[in-house]
Amino acid sequence: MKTIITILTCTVFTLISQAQDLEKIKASKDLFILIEKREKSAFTKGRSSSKSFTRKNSKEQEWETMYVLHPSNKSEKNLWLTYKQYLDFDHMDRGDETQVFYFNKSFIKKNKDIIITEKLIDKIGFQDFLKLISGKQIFVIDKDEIKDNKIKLKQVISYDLNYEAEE
Amino acid sequence: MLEKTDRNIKRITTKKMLIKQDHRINWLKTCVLLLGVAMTLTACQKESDLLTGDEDSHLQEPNKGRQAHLSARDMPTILDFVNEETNYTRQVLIDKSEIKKAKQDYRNSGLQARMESGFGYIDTSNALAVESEGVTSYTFKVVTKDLTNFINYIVVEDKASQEKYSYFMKYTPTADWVDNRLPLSLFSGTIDYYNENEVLQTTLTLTDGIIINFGNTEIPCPEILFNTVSDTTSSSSSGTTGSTTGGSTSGPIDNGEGTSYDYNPWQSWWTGWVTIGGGGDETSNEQEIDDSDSAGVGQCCETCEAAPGVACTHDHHYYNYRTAQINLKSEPTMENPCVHTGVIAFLVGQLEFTQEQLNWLMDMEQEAIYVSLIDYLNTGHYSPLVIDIAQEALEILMDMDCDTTPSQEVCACLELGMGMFECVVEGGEEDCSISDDDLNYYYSTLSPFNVDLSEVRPSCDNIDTTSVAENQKFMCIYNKLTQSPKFKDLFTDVFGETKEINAKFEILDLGDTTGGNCGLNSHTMNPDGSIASANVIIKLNKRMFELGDGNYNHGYNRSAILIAKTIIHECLHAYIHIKKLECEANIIDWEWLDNITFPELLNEYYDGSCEPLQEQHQFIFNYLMPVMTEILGDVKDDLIPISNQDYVSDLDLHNIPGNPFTESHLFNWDEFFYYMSLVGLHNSEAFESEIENSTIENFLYDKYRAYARDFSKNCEQ
Repeated sequence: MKTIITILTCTVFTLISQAQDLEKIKASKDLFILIEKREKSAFTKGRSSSKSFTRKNSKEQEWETMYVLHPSNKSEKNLWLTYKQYLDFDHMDRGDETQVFYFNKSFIKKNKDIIITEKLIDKIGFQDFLKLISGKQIFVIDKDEIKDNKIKLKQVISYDLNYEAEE
Repeated sequence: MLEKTDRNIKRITTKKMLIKQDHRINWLKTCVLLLGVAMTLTACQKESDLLTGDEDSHLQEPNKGRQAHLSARDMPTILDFVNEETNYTRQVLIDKSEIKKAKQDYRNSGLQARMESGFGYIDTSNALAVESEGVTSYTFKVVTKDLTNFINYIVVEDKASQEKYSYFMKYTPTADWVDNRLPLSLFSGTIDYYNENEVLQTTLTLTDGIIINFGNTEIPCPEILFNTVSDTTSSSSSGTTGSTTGGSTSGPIDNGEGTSYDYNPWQSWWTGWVTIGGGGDETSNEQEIDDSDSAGVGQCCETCEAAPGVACTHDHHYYNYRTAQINLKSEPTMENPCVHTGVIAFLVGQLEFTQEQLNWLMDMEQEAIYVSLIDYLNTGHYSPLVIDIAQEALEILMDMDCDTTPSQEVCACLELGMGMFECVVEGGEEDCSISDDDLNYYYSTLSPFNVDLSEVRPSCDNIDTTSVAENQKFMCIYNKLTQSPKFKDLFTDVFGETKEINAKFEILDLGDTTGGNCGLNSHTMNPDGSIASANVIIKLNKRMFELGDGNYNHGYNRSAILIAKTIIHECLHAYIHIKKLECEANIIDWEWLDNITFPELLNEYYDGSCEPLQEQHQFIFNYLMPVMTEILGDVKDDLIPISNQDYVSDLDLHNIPGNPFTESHLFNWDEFFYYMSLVGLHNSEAFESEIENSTIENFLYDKYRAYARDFSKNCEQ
């Protein structure tokens, strides 16, 4: 875990002080998506009981948080960005919990050039955004979760509801 | 010795992935798939020592199966039984070229006798007697005028209880099997099982020796014990015929010289015949029916085989079948001598086990060894690869010598009652040294078409290591799929037919969103416009197989069950490609579901224009979903760990925000496989009307395919 944190930290800080650069974002293995309250936000957020990701013998009721991105084009399907305690059942079997990191709130300001915001999504368009995140490790920063001047970076699973194609 | 053993273990272990024992295959299959005539354990044993014409002498060595030919006078009690079974009304006498009604009890005539049944005449002049452990079966051939099949009549006698029963087996081969003179081990056609009253009980359908349809009624324990016609048939057939002829009058085994004559039980008996080739005397059925006294059987075949393509001077070729018999037993364990005998016979005659191996097996007298061995062979359909593994496993066990060194791990495992393959063959990866041909042969026998897996299998070539993990995962998943009987029958079950399709699998990067595709590479057509053969390439997206914690986009890192779904989906595409070609050729060939002819169906679903892709999806949606879901259900436990299944067992979709339910809606496996199978069909009209336009259906579709991604990405060997 320490190694991961180190790598992540290095990744973040090497990009500090640079202007938001789409090419650099494309080149980055890790992507950070900022979810913030906006009027007419394309994102909706929901929490659901996630018993399926709770170990059988656990008494604690776990929850999953799903961020749903609604494309402006109504003919296109939503994108789900889902945080769960375990990425999938393989991780659950191994007891490997989903990565969560905490940074100082200044992280957002310092890294605004590499953090994907809703404005950027609007700018590049939904389809290009899907291409941008393809094959990347995605972390969500939920502004609602900022506490004690700390932000929470949590890994999410992206799921494009525009269906897998079988040609 | 130990090093050799270790090497063998390693070698055999690496092959395990290919042929996992399918414990779901029950003993019914175990019995049914036995190929090999019941024979003596000691093939070279002097036959006159085995049977002397006295029925009681059959049981002198109750623990060993033996066989011999008997003439009518050698088995009076059996013939009495047959008389009773036929109510003494069907006796006839045979006079070489003429069949006529009996005028006297054949038992007093000293003549060869035949007894009439509804099928024809039971030739009681000869029987192949097989006895072991107190049970003897007598196989008689039935002379029929129907040249399209051959029939055996079998009487089984339990010496201890004096109980007897009988039944008929009718074999109707395909023309192809006859024309090509294929061995009985590759029998293609149907086998009808009739009770003693000639009432049909069930019908088995075989292709190339493999039972593809077990019929509607389970046979209590059908042990089909085939003997195969080996390559040496013609060279030995004259002697064969001679022995049969001689046996009818001078004793079952004696060759007239009072000594054994290098008797080979694999080549000494034939019970059925068909005519092959043409030009026969169509007006004389009697002549077309081979008489057991005929000495020309082997010669005719030999002549024609010696001069392929040259018309045979004989009117008919008599195919030299071996005894085919079924013995009914309620408990097909090793206590059943027929199984025991059949196993030994099969090991010797079919698998080319050495005499040393055979002797070792006999000495071991361990039921688990036999059971495990045959189960393993049945599971693998007796492919060369499976046989090779079986032989190696046996060799390992022999090297182990557990009698003197029982402390070895494998010996301890055997001692615990585990089967030989559980103990000897464990885990491991596929052996890269297996030839492509062997690998493809094996998987083709288990697939809906001929497969070429040479590009997606683990390779010994270490130069290209780019797709090792992907190939390994694919092969594991494909292996699991082939263990679903529905997968093999994918086309025949749905379309009522199959085509000569050669499918090559490839794994390569297909981009972000697609799981795979299937393209027609080449094809040949029959004069009537139907497809004779087709070569297709199924491309699977490498990204599906990629593992990695970070990448959880939808096109990547798919669960094993989702990949299995994709493979099935592309297989179906392959077949529909072929049918589309025939559609374009305006072929009207077979009736369809719901009494819709295929062209009508094509018109309906292809909009009359044979448009590709989405119309195919619509077709799949309506007609193929049941098959897909059934196959996926079959492989559920193989591809979805039990722990994963537990996680969703009591999952309530009603708890999910935005759900459309007003009450509890628990996770349901049938629903899961249904909605998962819909993935990729979203552009079909049927999907849009039945799924898209329904809030509930749409919700379930989204959630279940999301769960499909959550299941394990791993495929355990």
